[in-house]
Order: sequence, then C-alpha cells, then structure tokens
Amino acid sequence: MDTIILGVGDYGVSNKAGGGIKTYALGSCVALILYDPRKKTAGMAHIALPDSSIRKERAASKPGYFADTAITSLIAAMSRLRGDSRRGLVAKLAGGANIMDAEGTFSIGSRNVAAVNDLLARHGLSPLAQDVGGQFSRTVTVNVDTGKVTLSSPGRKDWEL
Amino acid sequence: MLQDLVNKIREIPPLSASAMRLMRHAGDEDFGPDRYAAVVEQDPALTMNVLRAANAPALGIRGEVTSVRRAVALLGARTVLGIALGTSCPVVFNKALAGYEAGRGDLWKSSLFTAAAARALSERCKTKLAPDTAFTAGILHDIGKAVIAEFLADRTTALVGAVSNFEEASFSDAERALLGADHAEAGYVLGKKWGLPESLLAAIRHHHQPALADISHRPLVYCVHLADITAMSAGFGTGADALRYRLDTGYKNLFDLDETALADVILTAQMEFERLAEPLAGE
Repeated sequence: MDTIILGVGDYGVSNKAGGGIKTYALGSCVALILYDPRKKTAGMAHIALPDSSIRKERAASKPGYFADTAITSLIAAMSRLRGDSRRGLVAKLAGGANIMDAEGTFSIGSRNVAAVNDLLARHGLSPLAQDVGGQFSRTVTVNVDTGKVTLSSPGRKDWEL
Repeated sequence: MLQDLVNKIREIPPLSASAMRLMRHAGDEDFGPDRYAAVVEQDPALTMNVLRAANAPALGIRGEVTSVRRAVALLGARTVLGIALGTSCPVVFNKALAGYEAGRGDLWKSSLFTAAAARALSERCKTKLAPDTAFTAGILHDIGKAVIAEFLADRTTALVGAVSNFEEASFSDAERALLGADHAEAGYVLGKKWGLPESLLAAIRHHHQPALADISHRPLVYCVHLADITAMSAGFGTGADALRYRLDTGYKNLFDLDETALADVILTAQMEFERLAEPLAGE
C-alpha cells in the first residue's frame, strides 16, 4: 500500500487508488480523518494542541499542529483534490487519550477532542464515529479506497472505527 | 527473576568517561566551553559525533565545522552532553524494547522529548532548578526499560490488560507484579553501577512516585515526573505503557502550571525535540 506517514502536526490528503494515510502513537493528540466516499479521497491531520493563538509563527509553519488551523488547512487541501464544498464529507476522530488527572490540568486529550468537535460543528460537520479518550496510545490508518479507519495499540488486537 | 535482572545489569557496559565528566559538570558555570571541548577532544568517538552534529543540515550553519571548540560553542553544553549520553551506551538507548512493543530508537526519542520537556518545566519550578540537570535527568530517567524489556517480552497483552482491568494501578505496578521490580528500580540499580550522582538517581528511581523522593530532590524528581507524562501525552512514549501511570498532583506545591503553561511546555519541547533530533541521532 502506498501510505503517507504523518508526524506530529502534519496533515495530508490522498486520492491514490490503493493508498493510505497513517499516523503513529497519538497519545493526547487527535487524528482528524475526513473522507469523501464518492470521490474516494481521504485526508488526515495529527493535531497536538487545541488553539494556535499561543504561537502564531508555529501555526504558519505547521498548521496541522493546532486544531483551528489544522481543520481549515485540511478542508482546503481536500477541496483542491475533490473539487469545492464540504458536502459529502465524512469526519472521524481518534486519539485524545489522557493520563488520569482528577484536577484536569493534564487532560490535554479531552481539550483537544472538545476543540476539534467544536470547530467541526462550526464548519457544518459532525463526526460519524470517534474512538477517543482512555489511557493508551493509538496508531491510526485510513484506507483511501474504502475510507475504512483501522486502529492499533500495543498489547491489543487491531480494531476498526 | 530478580537475580536475572541483576545479572542483566552486570552485562551493561559503563558510561564513557567523557560522558561522566560532562555530566558531573552539567550546569557548572565555571566549566566553560573550552573545558567542555577539552573533554570532548580526548574521546575520538565523541569528537566525531559532536562534529557530525554541528554539521547537521538542521542547524543551518554555513561552511564546514571542523573545530571541536567551535562545534561546542554552536551546539551548546546541553546538546553536547545529550550527544555524549546518547552515544556512549547504545545497548541502552538504541535497542528495541520487546515487552513494551517499542521499536529501535523509540526509547531515545522518548528520552530526548522528556529531556526537552524537563528543561521547559524547570523554568516553571517555584524553587531553583538547574535546566541542564533537568535535561540530563530527562535523558536518563527510563534507562531501566532497557534492562527489563526482554523479561516482559510476550507479556504485553497481560500487562496492558492488568492495568486496563484495574487489577494493577499502573504499568509500573504490573511490572513489579511480574518481575519483582519495575523499570524505575532497575534503572536506579544501573545508575548506581554507573556512579551517577544522587539527584539523578532519585529522578530515575522515583519518577513515577515522586513523593517518595528525599525532600531535597523533589523539585527535580517532580520535574521529571511531569516531563515524562508530557512526553507520553505528546506521543513520545515507549509503546505499551504510554499513559498507564498515575499523576501525582503534589507537583502543584512546586510548579506553577496551568493549562496554558502546559500547552506552552508541550510546544516548546516539541520544537526543541525537532531541533535536536537530527544532530543527536548518532549512528
């Protein structure tokens, strides 16, 4: 499979038959997956933090790092491949794990998931499925032909979202 | 089983003399770039690695760097120490961690990110905490994983299951139930064999239970505790154990850290990691 690998803060799109997009070890980061079933086009962003306002220059060089800039960049990149509009786009989320923190300062994953959901709603999208939270790391792959999202984590069998 | 761990630690070679000397002088203002360079120059392998790092494209230095002194000045003391530690014991940092399902190089990346996060966190400590010591402790905190990983091989599903089902409170507890010691304790024994200073030994031994550390070491130990959690959150864990630990909220007595400050620490560590990863990649 011709697979694009995304690092932290990267995003990528593909409409290549037989292709895939993959990102490793999400932790508190969130993978946002967008898919157009008719045009068989997939996109993914590996989002690390909710809000780009803490470091604008980083957002300019790595827009995929922050939820707000990742979503606009990913939608724009999808549009370039499949033609205009958000119609027919399916969104899925994975990741957003947390260490247990009763007081919440370290609940970075939960803040990321909330930010992505909020921003998706503002773009008129809502996730069809999400596998988020918990206390473990996830590796995520989307298949360009089918839009199938597969997750894996050490010590567990792979599963589908 | 404990005897197997002890035998395993006996097999691990010592840290290089140059790494030990640089570490002893970490944060020492009297130990300037010239003296740093002198230590490096006595060690041919380290000299080669430092020069290669100074010439790494990521640093964007024009022209070839051929003098150790210039390389040390360009890289900075902390980076040179990182290179010395990371390359002086490849059987620790550069091996795949079987029981954690972490690949070759994952422990080094995780340690480097933890070091960068520890340095960033040291600035938020309410008492004085030397950034270079925090960085060094971050690099070394998980050396015990290289000791115990092979004894956890093929047990990953059981270990992960024990924590997920709340039979064990954390991955360290699951390690102790299986082996009689966890990676923090194994790392402490290895660090003692290496002759590491007390503060670093405390950081290695107590990084998952910082309240157990002697009060004089707690700022450093809590710093590494938080940096380790930050690394796991940011996706720089070592596989199966990632995030399967407990946060000790006692850090609040020692650190000024809210959500915004933590986001800044994560971003700062990520950027330092990206800057250092290539120069410090080693062989």
